[in-house]
Amino acid sequence: MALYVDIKKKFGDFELDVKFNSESSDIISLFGLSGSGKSVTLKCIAGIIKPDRGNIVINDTVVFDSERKINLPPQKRRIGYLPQSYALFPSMTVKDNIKTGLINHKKSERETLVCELVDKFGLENVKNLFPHQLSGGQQQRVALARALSTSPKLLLLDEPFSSLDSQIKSQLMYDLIKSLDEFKSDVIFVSHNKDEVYSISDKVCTISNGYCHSIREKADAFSKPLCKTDALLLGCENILDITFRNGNRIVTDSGIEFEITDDIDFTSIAFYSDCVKFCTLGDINIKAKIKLIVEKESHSIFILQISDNKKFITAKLRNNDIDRYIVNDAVNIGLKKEDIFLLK
Amino acid sequence: MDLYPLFNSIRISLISTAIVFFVGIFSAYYISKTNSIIKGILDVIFTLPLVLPPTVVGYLLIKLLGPNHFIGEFFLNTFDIRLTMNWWSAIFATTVVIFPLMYRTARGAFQSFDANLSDTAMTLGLSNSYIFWRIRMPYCKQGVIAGAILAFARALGEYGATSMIAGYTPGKTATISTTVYQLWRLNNDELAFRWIVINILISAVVLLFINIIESKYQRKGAKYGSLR
Repeated sequence: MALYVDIKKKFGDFELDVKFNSESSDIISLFGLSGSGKSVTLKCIAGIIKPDRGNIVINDTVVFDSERKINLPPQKRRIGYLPQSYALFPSMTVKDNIKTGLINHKKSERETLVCELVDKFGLENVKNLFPHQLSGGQQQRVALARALSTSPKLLLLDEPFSSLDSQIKSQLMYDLIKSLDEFKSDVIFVSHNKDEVYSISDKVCTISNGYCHSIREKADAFSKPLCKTDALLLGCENILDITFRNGNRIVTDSGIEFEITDDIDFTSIAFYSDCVKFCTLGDINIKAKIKLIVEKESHSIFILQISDNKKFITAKLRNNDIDRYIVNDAVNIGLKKEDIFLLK
Repeated sequence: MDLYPLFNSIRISLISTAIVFFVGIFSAYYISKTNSIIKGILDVIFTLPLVLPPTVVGYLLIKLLGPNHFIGEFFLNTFDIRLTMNWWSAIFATTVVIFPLMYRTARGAFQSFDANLSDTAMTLGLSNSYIFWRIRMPYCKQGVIAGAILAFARALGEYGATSMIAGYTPGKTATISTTVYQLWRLNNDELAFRWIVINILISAVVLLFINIIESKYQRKGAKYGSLR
């Protein structure tokens, strides 16, 4: 199953420019902060919003092509769409909600198909209830059953976990992964949560300010952020701008100085806070002052300052190791070069 | 006591409410979907009868439908039908006067509609008319019904434009409001008082209905809200 998306759309100052494709049946994550254009992209693919320019091809079917003036209505695209709010029809029971997707089937078939879906998604006990009588998890299952009832060629999931409590989220995530395993077509999963993205998807497209041009294997995307947005999305606590560069000698705005071996073009660097070691065994060793210690359940966050720089860096230490450090102490910290990401 | 005015008033109100019900809903639906200058202009035109004095509406209607004018003349010459001074002539007046009430309440209801519902419905392959009647209308039902009842109540009380275009002929074009006016002119307090009691009773029942529907709507609103 193949998917090709290349769309552009202007909304006032905001410009959407999204391009990615996939050849195999994959779960593709559209990974970005809120307001980055994720939901709009889904709506364009579903046919709810018309892009200004571009193409959308699903399994050799051109559903949108601005040059050839093709724009299939949502009804003809065979796409399952699960919006953030689930959009269950409030005036219909669970069963009737699912039945809406089967409107093109014969009446006799409809009943059997609904029963199959009700059974598959464990909705037997609630099938005659109305949406407002269901829990968040049940609502999600109904919405998924309804979206899959049309046997879509592509499934779009818009932040399916955003309106749920974190306590019930993990169980629902396992359920969703199981359901998606059985679904043999492409899935586009929109999220701003890196744990969800990692657990659910095969491939990742990061999107920021409406711009998205790279699709990467999950492992690659998570181990090698390419730009500041990538690093931010992956939760890199330290994202530092280069303030001075002389040949291979680099100085950042936090005061970290080091030399690179390759002649690569980059404007910032990033590293995780747990890569900062409290020792001098790194490739880069610096003296820093502890400005603040924030205790968490299993570890503590150290906010560190190098000489008088305004930009601080963040380090992380397990709680049983923190007793010897107090605020305003000077410490030696070390960083390994391989832990530093060079960002464009 | 001749009850013809009651019968005539209710007949006129029901028919004009039925007309306004459909026309108002569809105008509201298309206005809530368009987004342009046309929307602003049409919205003003559709709402205008609400703020214009009924005499102005009546005057404009006579200038359009009167036997010596434009449409009225055409109907008289072609079909031999006089559009004014019949019992049903009042329907023209009430329809125009109550239209904004239906239109604005329906528009409010449609604007509160969650667009995600219709978006998702489209991806499920549902046709636009299915979405309108089975998803949008049930969602906006209370608002639309409240608008219709309000329009009906206003139609019952319509006097100005009606008296100009249908006049007052006992047993023919008399309505409750024109009858009360006539009885006051004739100093017939006793009969006038009876009609006033009938009028107040009908209006009170109608308002009670609207309150019941609104309280139901609020409860349902809270329920729907929990979905998001």
